[in-house]
Amino acid sequence: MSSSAAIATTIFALAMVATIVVGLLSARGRDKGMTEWSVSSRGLGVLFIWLLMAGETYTSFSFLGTAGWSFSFGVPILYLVAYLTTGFAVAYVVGPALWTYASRHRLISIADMAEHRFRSRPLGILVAVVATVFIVPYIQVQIQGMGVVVNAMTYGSIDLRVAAVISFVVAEVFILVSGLRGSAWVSAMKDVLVIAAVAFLAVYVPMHYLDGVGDFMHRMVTEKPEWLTFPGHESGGLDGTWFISTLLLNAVTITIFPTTVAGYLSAKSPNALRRNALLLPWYQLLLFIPMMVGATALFVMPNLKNPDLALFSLVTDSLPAPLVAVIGVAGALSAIVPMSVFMLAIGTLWGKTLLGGGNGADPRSRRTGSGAPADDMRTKRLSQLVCVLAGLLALGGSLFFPNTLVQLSVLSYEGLAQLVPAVLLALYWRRMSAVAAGSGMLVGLAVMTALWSTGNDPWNGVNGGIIALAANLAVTVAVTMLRKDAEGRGSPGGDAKTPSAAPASGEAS
Amino acid sequence: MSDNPSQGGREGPQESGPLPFDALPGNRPRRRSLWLLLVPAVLYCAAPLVADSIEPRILGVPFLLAWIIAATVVSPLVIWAAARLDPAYRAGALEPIPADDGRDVAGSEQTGTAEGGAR
Repeated sequence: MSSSAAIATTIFALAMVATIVVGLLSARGRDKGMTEWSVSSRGLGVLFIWLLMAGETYTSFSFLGTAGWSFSFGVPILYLVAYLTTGFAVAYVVGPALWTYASRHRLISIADMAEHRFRSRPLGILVAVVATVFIVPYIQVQIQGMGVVVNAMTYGSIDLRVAAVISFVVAEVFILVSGLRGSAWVSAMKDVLVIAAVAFLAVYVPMHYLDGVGDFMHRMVTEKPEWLTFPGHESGGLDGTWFISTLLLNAVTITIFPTTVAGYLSAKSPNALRRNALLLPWYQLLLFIPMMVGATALFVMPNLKNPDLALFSLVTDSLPAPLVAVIGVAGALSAIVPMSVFMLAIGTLWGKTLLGGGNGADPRSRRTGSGAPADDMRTKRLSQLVCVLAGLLALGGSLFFPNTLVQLSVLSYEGLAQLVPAVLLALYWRRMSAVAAGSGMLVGLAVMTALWSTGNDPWNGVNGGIIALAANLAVTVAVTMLRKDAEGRGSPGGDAKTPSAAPASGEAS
Repeated sequence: MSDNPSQGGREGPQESGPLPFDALPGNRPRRRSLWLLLVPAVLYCAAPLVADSIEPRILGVPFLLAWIIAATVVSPLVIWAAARLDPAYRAGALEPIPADDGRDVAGSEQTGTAEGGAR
């Protein structure tokens, strides 16, 4: 091991220990119940919500994929900034809406909300299963991303697989003990490092390799014009139509991602979320930096084999070991924070809705929704168990089948988009029935899978997920209308019993 | 929309909990400013349609990239403006949830069970 590698490895090890310590400390003096674990007792203020959500949007993809796409394709990568920012405009309404519904009825996940909204546990279970199918691959992507980052920052002295196992262990330890609050605290550490690292790279990279940003732009225009307009360089159909359809689909979908919703539900008040929707878009400006660094690699190492390493190759090539290590730690934490929230989200989906007997809203289910402490603890234990199993599944996938599951992650957004009618639209459209939401969802998933497996995604440039969502909505509307006709008019009830009372604000503390 | 702002949710144990939107003073406040939230989507969607070119360059930055950067700077300002003009934001109120009004009609099942907020 060279001395650079030794320095970098030491710094990395210290950072991982610090991560665990910070994550564990966050649980001190807190309640031990399910609501604390899964949504921080709905007690996070603007600052922690910001840190947590920034942590979720700036993942290891930001360091690897963003630079890589920029290097390989050029402008299509701008969809990332576009949908994240547009997503915050959507989240201005959706975040407080989901928060209001969930806190009023004491719900902790999208499956929990669907079950309650439709009085149907089967629908809640369907939501939980579909969400899980599309999230587990995402965890694997993060684990593998962590492996790549750690391997690069330690100059190859930590093996990819060892790094994968380390990331799993670190994330599980603090998420199991501290729950979502642990992620928020670790995210604080991570955001400081990310902002520092990226700000530094923004100045350093163009100065070191070229004559500054002006020269970089000039050379891009004169030497690589193909990268600067749609559809970019050999991007395989990532044209303007793809850009628009993907940005619209993803902007809506990200607001109901189970992990985003975990962040929403942990907020103290609706205004914490509204304020977050106006503050977080500024954070997206940071994403332009890895894009620029990725494009700079075009001039420095045009023959780079793995484009995902565009950023880290430049970093290890030009900086001394301690700085490499700090940037690497920022990248590693960018994998660990989202990974932990993803695992927690799956645990929450399963622990309550699937294994814990649901929330009692379904008149046909066993549970009556008693809030007994023993019951609550059982739900938490089950959730933690699933949290570990989901992580193990993803870890196993990254060690033994590194390419199979990752293919599924490409479909994550398209798949989760099919939950939008059941989870979000249902809050606005009172008549939507469980059967309609369920059948729409299944049709949407079928259309999406068909398009994808026949190589028709994108279809003439249109994102397959948006076509599937259209089919999904059509079926949902049709079935709702048909059933309404069959049943005749519903009673115009809703007088005294409407639950417009207290929003269960101080629950569980 | 609920017709009865009943008890206004002020009995939370912390500092007064957020009001339901319908309990806001004034005659059912309008939230026209929320239309502004469409601006980011419009700006980004317009990018490949009206800005898909390198020239003219803005301070040396190719036009398409300059457009996206501008949209990314303008969007948070627009969301901020939407919030400032939003009565729900100014009062810190809850979001109105149509599905919660007239709860008994919702879904196809009969509810029957106790639903009034506290179990």
